[in-house]
Amino acid sequence: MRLVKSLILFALISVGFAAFAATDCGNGAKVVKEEAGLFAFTYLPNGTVEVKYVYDEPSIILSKNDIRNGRIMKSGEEIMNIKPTGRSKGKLKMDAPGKIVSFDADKFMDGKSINKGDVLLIYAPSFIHHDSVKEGASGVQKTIQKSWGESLVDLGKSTGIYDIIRQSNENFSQTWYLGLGRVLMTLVALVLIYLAIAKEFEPLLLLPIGFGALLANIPLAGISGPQGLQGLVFDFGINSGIFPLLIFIGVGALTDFGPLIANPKTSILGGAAQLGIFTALLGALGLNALGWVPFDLKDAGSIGIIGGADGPTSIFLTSKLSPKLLGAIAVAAYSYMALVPIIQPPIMKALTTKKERLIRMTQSRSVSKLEKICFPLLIVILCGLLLPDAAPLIGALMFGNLMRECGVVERLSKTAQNELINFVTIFLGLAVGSKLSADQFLTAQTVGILALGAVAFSIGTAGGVIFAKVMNLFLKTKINPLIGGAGVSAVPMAARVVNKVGLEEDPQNFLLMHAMGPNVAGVIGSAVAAGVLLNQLGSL
Amino acid sequence: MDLLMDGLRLMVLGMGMVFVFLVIMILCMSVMSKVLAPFVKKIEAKEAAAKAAAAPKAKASSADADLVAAAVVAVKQFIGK
Repeated sequence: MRLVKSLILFALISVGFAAFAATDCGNGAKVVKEEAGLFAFTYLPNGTVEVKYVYDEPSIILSKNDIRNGRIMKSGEEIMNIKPTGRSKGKLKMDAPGKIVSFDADKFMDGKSINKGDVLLIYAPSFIHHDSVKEGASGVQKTIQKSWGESLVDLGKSTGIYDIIRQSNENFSQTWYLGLGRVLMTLVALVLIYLAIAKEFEPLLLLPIGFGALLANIPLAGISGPQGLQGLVFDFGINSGIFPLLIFIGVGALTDFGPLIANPKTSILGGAAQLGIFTALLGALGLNALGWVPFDLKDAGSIGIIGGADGPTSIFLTSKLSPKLLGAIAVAAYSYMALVPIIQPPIMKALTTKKERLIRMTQSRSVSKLEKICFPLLIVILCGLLLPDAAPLIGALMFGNLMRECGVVERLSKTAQNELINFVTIFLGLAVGSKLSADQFLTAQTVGILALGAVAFSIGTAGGVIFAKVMNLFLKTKINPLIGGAGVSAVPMAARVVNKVGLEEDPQNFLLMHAMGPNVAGVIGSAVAAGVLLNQLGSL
Repeated sequence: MDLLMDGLRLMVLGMGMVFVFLVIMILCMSVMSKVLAPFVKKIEAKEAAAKAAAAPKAKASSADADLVAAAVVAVKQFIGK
């Protein structure tokens, strides 16, 4: 019975093969298939495959992987990035593995165009390969088969200066950002490094991001390309969403939720401050509706989350929703976090009266160790029940916190607080820096993002303060509305700012611990907001 | 306009979810504090007892410290001579 089945199967396969072979062209070559109207693949009689460009309009090569004759390309490996006229940018990747037999590296340099009818490359599909050589066989020594003059010219062409000038000339409108743009972005990188070192603006992040931008804009080196350090780290850590979560483990291990447990009521302020997220989201859509800056819903969600004042959450959500905005959003999120002491006080003062700022709050109760241990477990279970979309963020945060509070894994907790978070921060910064390329950063969108980020921050602060005033209408023991401003989650900076503003009015009024409650609740609040956005927009 | 309506919908859903989550969290936390209170008391009582038991030992150790100090002085005098 089985034999009959196999025979039938075999017959079917043969018929299929015969039908396939019937598409032979006259000269023995046959067209295999056309892919999305851009390329046609043809089997040549010697078994190799010719990839021909068949789109009517030309394409510009934006960047290219290390492709040369004789190289074996793996399945899924990137060949080049192109921009066909009238279509979006596209990545070319190998589907079937094979050895490059013919590729004209001089004709298809980055910055040059591919025209209809061009044979991009010929490759020999391979199934397996090995690197074993015959024993005792000495390979033929390769020599540089060039004249002195040619060597000098090639060396000159391999300089960065030559490439910048070349890219700024050919196809200028399409490839300006590979030439002139790199120079401008190098300046942006230097500004970021200056802000980090001289002004101490979030130096732990802006320094790696700035230097990452510097490296990514070096011409020809391809550090941010698919084979480069930044490209690989980006793929591994940010595309996958791993880095922000690892940082959250560290943040959890650094955060004391005691003030929140002692005075749970004030944690609602950490929710009110998330208003900034959704106002900025609406603002982004408004700019789009006015026709000023093009943003879609996903972009708007990623921009809004800047208002959460939480770097890792912003990066996590943006990498899932609109990775192309990552550079601008990370820079905006971290620069505004550094600007918290400047942005917040005027808003807090404008919205409160002197009398309100003088309100003293009773000292909160001490929190037992048992409660601190149960808290992270409670929150994770709650999150799992209510909003699983926020579970990656909140889960990582609470895991770190449990390690801190349980007291039996001191070593792990110390590692999460120091080595882990530091290690990840270095690579997160470098990888985010790789997204600071001119075509993605020097756009109207970046200007919009920076403006909306400031709006988001201000409205978040205002939302927290106003909500605290509303709460005071109903509460018997009044709370100081200043602590509402700490609801934006920049921990512990926002709480420190609240404390400082409070001390300015009354040198005896210490609000720090009271502000820490809304502050850490803000971290949970923005993770929940990110979860909702991911849930609603992730599948668009 | 449709996009703006979507934005409003996100705002309502998002702020709503954030508040619902935090309110439920606050309720659960106050329940948790109440449930845990007797255990906390027990643990604290135990710790207090342990401290009381440890107190005499501490005295002994301070006596030890006095002995050490005396020995150090003696050794110093010996070396000085």
